[in-house]
Amino acid sequence: MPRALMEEQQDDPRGFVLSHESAGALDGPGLRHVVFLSGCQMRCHYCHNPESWRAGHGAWVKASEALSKVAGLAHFYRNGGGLTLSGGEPLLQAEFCHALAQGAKAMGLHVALDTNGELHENLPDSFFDPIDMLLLDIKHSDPVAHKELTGRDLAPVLDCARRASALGKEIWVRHVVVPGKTDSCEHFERLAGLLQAIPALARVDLLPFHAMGSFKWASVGMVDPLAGVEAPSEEAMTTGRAILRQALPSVPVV
Amino acid sequence: MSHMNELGAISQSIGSTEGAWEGFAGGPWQSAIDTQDFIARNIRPWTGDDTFLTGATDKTKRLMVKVEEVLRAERDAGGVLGASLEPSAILAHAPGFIDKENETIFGLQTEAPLKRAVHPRGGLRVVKQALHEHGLEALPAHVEKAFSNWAKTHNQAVFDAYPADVLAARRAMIITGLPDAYGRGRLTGDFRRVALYGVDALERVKVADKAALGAKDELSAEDIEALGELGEQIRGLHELKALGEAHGCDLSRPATNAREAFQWLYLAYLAAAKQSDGAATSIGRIGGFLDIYIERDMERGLLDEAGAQELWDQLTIKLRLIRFMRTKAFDELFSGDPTWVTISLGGMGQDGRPLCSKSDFRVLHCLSTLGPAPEPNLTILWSQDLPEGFKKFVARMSIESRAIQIENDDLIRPEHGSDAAISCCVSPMAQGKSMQYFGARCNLLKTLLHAINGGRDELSGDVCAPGFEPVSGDYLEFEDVKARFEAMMKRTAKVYMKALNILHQSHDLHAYEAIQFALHDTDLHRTMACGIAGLSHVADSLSAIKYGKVRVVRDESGLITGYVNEGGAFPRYGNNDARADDLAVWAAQTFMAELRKLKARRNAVVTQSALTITSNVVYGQHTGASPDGRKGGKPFAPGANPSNGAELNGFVAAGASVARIPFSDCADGISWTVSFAPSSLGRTAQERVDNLTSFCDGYMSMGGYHANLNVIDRATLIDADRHPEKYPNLCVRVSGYCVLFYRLTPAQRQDVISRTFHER
Repeated sequence: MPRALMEEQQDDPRGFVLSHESAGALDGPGLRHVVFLSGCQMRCHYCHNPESWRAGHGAWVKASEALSKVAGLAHFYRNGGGLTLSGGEPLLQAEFCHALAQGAKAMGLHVALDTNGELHENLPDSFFDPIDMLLLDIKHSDPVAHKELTGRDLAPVLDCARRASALGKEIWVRHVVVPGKTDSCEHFERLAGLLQAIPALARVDLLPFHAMGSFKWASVGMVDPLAGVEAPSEEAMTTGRAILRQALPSVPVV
Repeated sequence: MSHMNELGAISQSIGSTEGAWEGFAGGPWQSAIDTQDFIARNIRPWTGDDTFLTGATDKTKRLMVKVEEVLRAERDAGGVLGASLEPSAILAHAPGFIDKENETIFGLQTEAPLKRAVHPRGGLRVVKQALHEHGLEALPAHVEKAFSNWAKTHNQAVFDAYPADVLAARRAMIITGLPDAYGRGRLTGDFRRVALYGVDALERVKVADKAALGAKDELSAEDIEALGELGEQIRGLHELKALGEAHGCDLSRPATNAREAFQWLYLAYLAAAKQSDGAATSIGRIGGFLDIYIERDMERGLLDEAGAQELWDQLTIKLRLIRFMRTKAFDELFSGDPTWVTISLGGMGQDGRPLCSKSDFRVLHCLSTLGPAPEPNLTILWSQDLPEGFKKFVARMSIESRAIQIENDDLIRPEHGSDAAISCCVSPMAQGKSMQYFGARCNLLKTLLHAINGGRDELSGDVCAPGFEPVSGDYLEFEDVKARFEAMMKRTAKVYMKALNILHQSHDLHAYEAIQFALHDTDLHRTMACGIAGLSHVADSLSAIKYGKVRVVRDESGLITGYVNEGGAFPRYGNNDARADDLAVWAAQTFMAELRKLKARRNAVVTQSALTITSNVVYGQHTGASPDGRKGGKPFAPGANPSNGAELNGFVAAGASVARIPFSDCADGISWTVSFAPSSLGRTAQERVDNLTSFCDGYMSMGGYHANLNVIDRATLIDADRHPEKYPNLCVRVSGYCVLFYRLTPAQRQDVISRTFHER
């Protein structure tokens, strides 16, 4: 790599951005700008953005370019909102992700990282400096089932939660309820146990699986592994919330 | 005239107020007409939340039973319950009642609720047409004869004068929606003056103004026009007093308590609605004003919270029953029977105090006590400095009812002061001090198409603007098109201003809103409020030409009837992308600059709006294909909205683009109608309220002027389109007003459904 390019890369790294959502109201507290980064190492069966899996997909942009889309809109995000780095799995582009977080901090914005956590092990503590909170996706409560559902291990995810807690980061856990996979009482009780062990847990979002991502599987030439699965019943959602609320009395379960 | 608000005259009347002002903080408002000063000295801003509110009283509930009956009857009759054929005037009809013993506030437009009045003075043709279309009895022969043989109507006077280029521009629908067929209201009277001062004091001021003007040694044509108008105003005040007497109210004196203040103010408003053919019949900024009377009565132990809510409920019921007789052609332009009874709430004082009172909450609360309805047109003058409790209540009621629009008080206040109100949809005015020569709008996209076609209309092939050459090559070149567009804007602006000067001279003479002018200062600030339609398509078309590669398609006569972009994607207005947004800004500024060069009658200040109301559908129907890829006949995006489907980055980026259109060049308002799926605003009800509030603050702080907020699922609208009977009260906001969805024309319903919905 020519020297000039290397230097530029260090100051203003490039990354692959799938899209921007200027009005995110579902990815962390308040009204947020969400940058979706491409690439993911997990292969969750219920993923509603399978087009985000492929690394090197989307627009190849400098961090400063991506941030310029946020800067003009920062008014909107200062009142309890902020910036959320999502994906895909943003930690696959850690350097780029860090530059975006730093840039957003410089604008005075709250920064959330929407991650499955697995890749934290490779990162120094300083990586988390400009990040205020984690939106941590815990996909399953059982290690074997986790591997089956996502293709990856559960342990590093939980490890990430402990580490972020130790670093003083607020954590919101998000969990998708899939009929037949993650909707049993037994599962919710096990999940509650895992969540009790996360000191910085501040909220749990229980998200009903929806089949709206199904067409996207077809559009990227893959077979939807959950084709034909319906959204969970309201009853299953209520049961799940009740179990979690009982186990986590001081944490809002939404 | 330097003698307006004749001090001696008002002082003279103070002697006869007999305690009407007791308990109020005194000030300059006591010696001259100055409602704003009265409010500033007496208002009690409410910085708390909505928990003090109560439900409807039994009396109101009993009245609502009758109101529901008559509304159902109107629905069953196909939308119009009947007409009163006596030409409307302040005293044309005997007092009407719904259910007298349960009415706290008296007065209806005609002798019976929802029976519509006719206004042949503005135009005989539309009255006949409307009666015919609704299958109603025709006008009596003597009335028809009077307005065709003896009295000259506004409509007749305008068409007697229109020159050929105006008629051609009208025919091609490059300039349209002009108020030349009927006598539309053009101002919002300061109805509060009647309650605060009584009619006698107001009359004395006008008599003194007239005497002073008439005493000049020489009278110019303008002086004579003004003298005649003052005479009409004084007559209007006499009629208002008589209207009061007919309802058992002595309007000659100020109101002495809250109920009287509501009644006095409403009768003044009613007189205006009887005299003018009312689109729009706004009522102004009345919340804080009437709240002062409520607070005083509460202190005296005469009124409790239930009684206060009853007054607002009962006034709101009356405002919901305002109707005008309209033709089908009107309905296609302004669909759903709107009356624009715009009521302005909130806003800040010049001293930094909020002007939202408990009554501003009570007005919004009527959506709960009476159920949702499209009128009155609830308009929040939004400032970031408003108390959180009020902002959150507005957001919550907006999410629940979709009946609210917000306008930027932080932009309006420096320009129009802290007693400004919205007239019609988005026009800001200092109450009692300014009026608007309403100018509908110019089809800016068609102007661009005519520029490319050398003045020929892309649909008819007729020459609309002679003396222009069409584009000769096969591909459009940006600088070339821009220069042609500038020349065509210049030409269109001139024709437009001619039309407006003609029709408003006629309006002043033949459809003068005497009672509303009587409730204004004699020396008025006037604006000539022009407008533009098709802004997003102009911006995207210019962007396609600049950043894409647009080939023209000609028919056998050489007329350019289509466009093909061979250059791939181009930036589109609505994504906070300066490349496209700057083109929208440029187009608005350039047309405004041309308008400013022209002289408007009576020294009116020329302004423009980016607002279409629902006419975006009809404009689109009469406009051919455009370089942005919009197919011929397809609706325009409404107001200053980005084109349907253009917004790719969410509503914040879209709002930022709209906020770029400068208020200084669109001083009559910039309208944005935005639709959110409820789920896109947050997971919990509280999150939705908080996020909508943050969004409104952010949009306004970026300089956004206006937003119609629609929080609804597209699926609900589709269901309501198929099964209207299931949704008789479903309101949606369209550009500038709120409407019952089922009352929109089928084309309008489709347009609302196909708009960009922000959903995730």
